[in-house]
Amino acid sequence: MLFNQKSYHSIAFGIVLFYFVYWFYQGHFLFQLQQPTLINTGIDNTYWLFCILRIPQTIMRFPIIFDALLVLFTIFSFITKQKWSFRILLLIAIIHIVTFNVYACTHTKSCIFFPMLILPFCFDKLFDLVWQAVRYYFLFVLVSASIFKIINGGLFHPNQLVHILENQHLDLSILNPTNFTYRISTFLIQHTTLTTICWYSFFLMEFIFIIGFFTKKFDFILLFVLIVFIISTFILMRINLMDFICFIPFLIILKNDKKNATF
Amino acid sequence: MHSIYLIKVWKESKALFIGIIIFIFFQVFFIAKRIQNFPFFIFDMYSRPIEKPTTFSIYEIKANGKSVDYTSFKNTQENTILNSIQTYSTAKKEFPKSIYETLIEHRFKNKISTTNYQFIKNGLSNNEAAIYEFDNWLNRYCIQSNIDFSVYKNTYNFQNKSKIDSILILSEDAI
Repeated sequence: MLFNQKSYHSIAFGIVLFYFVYWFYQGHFLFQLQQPTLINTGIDNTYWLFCILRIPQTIMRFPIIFDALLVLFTIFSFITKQKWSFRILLLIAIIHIVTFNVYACTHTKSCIFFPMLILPFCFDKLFDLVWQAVRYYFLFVLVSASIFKIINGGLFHPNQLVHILENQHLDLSILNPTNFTYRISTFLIQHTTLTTICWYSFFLMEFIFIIGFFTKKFDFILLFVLIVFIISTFILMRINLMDFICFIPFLIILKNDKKNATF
Repeated sequence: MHSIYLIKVWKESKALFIGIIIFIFFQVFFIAKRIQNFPFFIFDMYSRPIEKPTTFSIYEIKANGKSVDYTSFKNTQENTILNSIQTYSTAKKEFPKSIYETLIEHRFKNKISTTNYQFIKNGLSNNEAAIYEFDNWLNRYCIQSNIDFSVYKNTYNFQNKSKIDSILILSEDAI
């Protein structure tokens, strides 16, 4: 063991429980969809495969049972700490996510983070290596977001964040112009210098995660940046990045673990 | 050199090493193809230049004669409502064809038997009953109107926010 698996286990369990409470608040459980009728797979090959095999269609006949199965299996897995149990949980989580997205007609990209959080527990002897692989993947996702902004030309486009805010809040401008987010956006749209600073700050908040590839010494800073990133994206753009909280256990290494760590 | 992650993985588990390499390959492949495929996350939102809109369209849900402010709903609920209305609108327009008819044909037609093709198509499509039942679901999910409700797609001028066009998507007398 590179470090004490227990601390990751406890933090991950806490995050997952919080995540489920948040899911319930948001209406993210299958039974909360209230027996939807339409499906939309997008052009995602995995969603296509699941729908061709009629998996979401079958699950949606018993939504509350599958929701209960997910929650109970999570609790059971974290209490018993059995590898096979986590493997079944991983499968249930993936089916749940695909079913929800297909019936909610959405394609939430970041939903993959929840199964990623469970993944290291599915491997007993290789726990440390898989844990590190998942950590690298989280880092990659955030750093790649900043790289995409450079490659695709959005980073240096004049008034990019101004235009993003204008496009993002079109519904608010008609339906709810007194909304808190809309008022902040209106202020920012009128103060382009400040908005440009915010835009580059967002870029830096993503790019700074490159540090994580080389050292874990600054993980507490990355954790702080991650939380600021999640909150500011929600306040400014009403984009929900709560799935990113699954990254938190990969940024917290307790004192006890640092003594044992060889990385 | 031994501290490089992939070398460590290679030494400890060849199977995991191959698994990681395959994952990296598909991640790069889907980035190059610009296709979002579960579980490969491409976080490129707003990475391309965005321009100021001249006109824009939003859905308006009217229940009991009043506009429903779905922006005050929970994030997940709002997304579900808007995406479902969009799916309904497309499915109804395209019916009896699937909304991904062209893609399904391109991928499967004349490559597999007619029976299998139909099986695949049915799994990816919304049938008539699903489209017909959509208004009941929408009412149950968010509107909960006991009089009537309707959904419009309104187009506005960005500058002065004046309504340019309004298309009726759905109209229902609820019971």
